[in-house]
Amino acid sequence: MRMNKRNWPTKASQIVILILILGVGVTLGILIKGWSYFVVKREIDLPASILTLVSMTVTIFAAFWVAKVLESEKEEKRTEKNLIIGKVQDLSQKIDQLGEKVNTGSILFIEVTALLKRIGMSVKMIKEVVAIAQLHNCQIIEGEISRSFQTLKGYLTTTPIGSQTQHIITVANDVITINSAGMVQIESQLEILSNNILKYQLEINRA
Amino acid sequence: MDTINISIARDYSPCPGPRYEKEGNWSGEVFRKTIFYPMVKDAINSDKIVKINLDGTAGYGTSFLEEIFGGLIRVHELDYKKVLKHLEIISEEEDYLKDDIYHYLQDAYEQKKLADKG
Repeated sequence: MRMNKRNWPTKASQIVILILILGVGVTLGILIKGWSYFVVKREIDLPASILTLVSMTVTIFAAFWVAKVLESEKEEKRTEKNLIIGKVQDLSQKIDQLGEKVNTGSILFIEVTALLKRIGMSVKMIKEVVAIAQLHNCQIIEGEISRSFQTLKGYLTTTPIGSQTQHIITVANDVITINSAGMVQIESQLEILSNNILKYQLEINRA
Repeated sequence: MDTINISIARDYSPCPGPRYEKEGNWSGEVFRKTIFYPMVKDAINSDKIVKINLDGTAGYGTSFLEEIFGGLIRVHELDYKKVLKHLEIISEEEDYLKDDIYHYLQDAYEQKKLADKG
């Protein structure tokens, strides 16, 4: 029969283990035969006691100090991470805003370039802050974010050179019009960028 | 080498537009034809450096930058190596634009080489 790990140890097995441990303890005590010679010393060795007291006090303070320092470092790191994650969430909102504009199918060129600049600058700023906070293991996802951002920017602001055709967008009177195939590509790229931003947030949180 | 300074936001428009004039206002084509090409040509001939500052605008489309830099080689047939030698790009706000621009210049050069062979 398979043992169910959740129900183990049972009450009966706990009692058996306790009895065994007690038995082992008593046996060891009898074997070393030292237990009967213990005496309570009723005198104080003053210099040795003071030294012991000082040593104990120093040890206790050191333990508290180390715990406090470690806790405060952990707290600082957490605060830094929360600040950075807040900025990453702002970045996500900008990407969502761009997505909403794209969905209309027709947008002012300047609106798109301005939003893309804000997104690009946010990514740059977050990367710099992550480097300052020494949060490692984020380089791979940072590279993926840069690539997906560049691809999206290319889709949204590249018009054909000369008489080249087959481009995702056309621009006339400062207004971008996105063709239906292009819309699919842009939406997919927006999703890739959003997913990469989410992964970045998780990496920052775990770092 | 002496330097010629130009800022797109200050000397052209804080809101740069699309690639061609027919596509909208403040296009790369107009900037290249009227301001940038004469400036770079003069810098090459008189051994100066054009320091172009991209900061301070609302943002750039890929086409605008490709048109002003790639167009120097594609349209005006300036020498790729001379352009690189006489050009300095300042872009503190969006540092990745520098790499993009060097790619546009190289692509235009490669395309021109292919066209010359064909």
